[in-house]
Amino acid sequence: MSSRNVDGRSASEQIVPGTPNSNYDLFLKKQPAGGKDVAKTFPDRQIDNNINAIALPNEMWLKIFANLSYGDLLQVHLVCKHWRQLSRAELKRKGKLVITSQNLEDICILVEYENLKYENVEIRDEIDDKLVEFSNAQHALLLRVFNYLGKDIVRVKLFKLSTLFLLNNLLPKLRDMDLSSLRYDRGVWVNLNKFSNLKSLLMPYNKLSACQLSWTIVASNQLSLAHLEKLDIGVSDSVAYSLDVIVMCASSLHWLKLRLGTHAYLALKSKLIETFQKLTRLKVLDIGCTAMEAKRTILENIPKESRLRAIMLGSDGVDDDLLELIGRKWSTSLKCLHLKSNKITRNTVKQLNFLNGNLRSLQLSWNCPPPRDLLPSIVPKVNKTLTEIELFGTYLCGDSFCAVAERLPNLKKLGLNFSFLAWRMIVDYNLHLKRMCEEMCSVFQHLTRLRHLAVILPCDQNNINYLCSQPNISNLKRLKTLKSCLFPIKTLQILNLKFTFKELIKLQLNSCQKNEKLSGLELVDISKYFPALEELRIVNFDCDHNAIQGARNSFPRLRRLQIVKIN
Amino acid sequence: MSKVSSKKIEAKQIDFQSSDNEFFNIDVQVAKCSGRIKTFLEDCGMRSGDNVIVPLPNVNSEILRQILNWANYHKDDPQPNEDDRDEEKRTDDISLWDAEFLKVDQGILFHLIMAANYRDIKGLFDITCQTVANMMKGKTSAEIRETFNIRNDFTPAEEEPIGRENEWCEQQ
Repeated sequence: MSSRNVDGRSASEQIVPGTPNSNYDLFLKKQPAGGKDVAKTFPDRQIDNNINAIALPNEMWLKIFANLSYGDLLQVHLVCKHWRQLSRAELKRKGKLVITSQNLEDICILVEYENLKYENVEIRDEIDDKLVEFSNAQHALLLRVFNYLGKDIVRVKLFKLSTLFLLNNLLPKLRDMDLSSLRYDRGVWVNLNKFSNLKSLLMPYNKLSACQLSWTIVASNQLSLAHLEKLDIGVSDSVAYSLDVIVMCASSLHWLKLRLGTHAYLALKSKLIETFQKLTRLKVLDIGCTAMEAKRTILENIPKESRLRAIMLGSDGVDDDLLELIGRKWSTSLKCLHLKSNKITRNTVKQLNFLNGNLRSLQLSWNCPPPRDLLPSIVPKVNKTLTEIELFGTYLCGDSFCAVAERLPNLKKLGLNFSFLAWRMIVDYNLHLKRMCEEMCSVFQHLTRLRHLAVILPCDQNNINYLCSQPNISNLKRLKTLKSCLFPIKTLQILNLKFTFKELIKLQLNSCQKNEKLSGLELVDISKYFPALEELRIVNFDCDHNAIQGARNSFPRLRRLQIVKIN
Repeated sequence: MSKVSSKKIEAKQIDFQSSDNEFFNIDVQVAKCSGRIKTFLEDCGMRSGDNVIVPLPNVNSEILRQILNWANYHKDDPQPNEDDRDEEKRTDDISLWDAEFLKVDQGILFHLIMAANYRDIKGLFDITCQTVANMMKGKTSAEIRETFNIRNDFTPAEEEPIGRENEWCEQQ
């Protein structure tokens, strides 16, 4: 095998991840004799540059491909026969097969002739949010497909309980089940005990199906859930079954997302307390609930053995007492904190400052103007631990992000989201626009390691000259997602930079003035900066949908295009 | 291994001999960035005062010099701790020093990958592979072929489809 591999071509028919390393020896022996003498004279010239891509053993390429996104792998797949073979497994691992009523038949034909393997499958029996019932014939096809594919599948997303019922016996390896978008199916019962490897379960958001499913689980004592590590579940009005589901997996649960209605909280308070006292291994807690009292009760009753690393407290405000409670119980373990504070006070800032040494991720929202020194207080000195900051508010604080950008050398994710309606009320609007530009430029100057950036700040045509004279967005070479207005991208055009965001997969363009126009042509013009783009979202622009759709083709990898109006 | 014996090793220097017979006298601590050499040294159970020469018949002096340069710079890096393991993969970022270090031509880069793999130098292996991957990102298949000088061996019929099965797939 190894000797055949050296020429790189005959090996193309087989993938052998464990290709012997003797390749390496063979390949160095090809070095010209007398290399030593040459090395002494020209130390940089010694290497034979004939060593090319073909000579690199398969296992190295597999490791290299593992660093690529799905979109990049699709291109690798088209490079040559050898790479098509090599990249197949990684493509399957990163991709997800989406079965729809349109492609089901084709999949069925292909699956019988080719040895297809998928770990992730979604059965999307809906089109444009409308449910499309699979016919009986299609159900038969689905069964045939899963007879082939089922044994490899570890992750599945379903929209109908009846589909799960159908495939119950065909998914022995299933680990993650996403039922979050499940529709209500009258009179269908499933037995989750069939899935003995299940580690993650996302329960339906639809209340009827949630009740139905949790009742089934509890009533038929489906103990396979006893090993569940991750659970997303809603507890709705006075139906205690969902809490019983949590109790069933209490001893193994690491990650819990609880959606709790205020009524449900009032009706089930004592049971809720009992349930949370059992969660001894919890690491991540995400509570969505409008009642602050509910959050307090839950956090108070989680035992101290649970070393919480992440606490997400939804979009409804919390107060300083709650923050203090969090600090008291989890200041040493907490790495991630997301919360909304109705009123950020000096005390809030003090608490955040206290927690901050450990935090990797901080998400903070507010309604009222926060203290002027909010950010400098949270980031008083260089902080290499913090990698994510997201701020949401109607007002930007006095000392703005500029002041701390330099102190966050490892920041990977930054969100500065400020609604622009509020800005109209500010007296010196132009001065503030200029400050917003300075904010942006300081981000471009200092945070060159960012992978995810959202700068929803108001901008203005008058600022473009300033933007062009400062460090620009081309400093952020490794962005994967970007939400911004058009101005930073227009800067690239004006400066005529030869630059591409080669890893940027998701882009959201926000308009920042009323009735701001966006033409198809403008979109074509900026497409050259985004060769890897897969999802584009266009928000609040005044645009001709057909013209925008017409520009689609200039983004070679685009899969999803959304044009939306918010407010 | 016990703390006592590892201290003994730390106090010493060893010699590497490259395939083209150049000798490199280096600190054992630096040499131990290679998992393979670390195991070798531990298996030998060296005592202080030993004069150890490790022949590396498949690494030439130029590549060895590069590797030692890298290892020397990274010798005091903290080991990734348990805590980080379940965090989002953090190795996809190449430090400025490493990025500068890896500004070499493809031939050398491929040599480094193979040496890092063979000698089990994880940190170097990761960043070299990442660097090659970065050379492909955002490119079309034709551009990738050009970058690595790969011949297109598809017939027109084979080349055209991205594969129907891939059309049915999405990024997770």
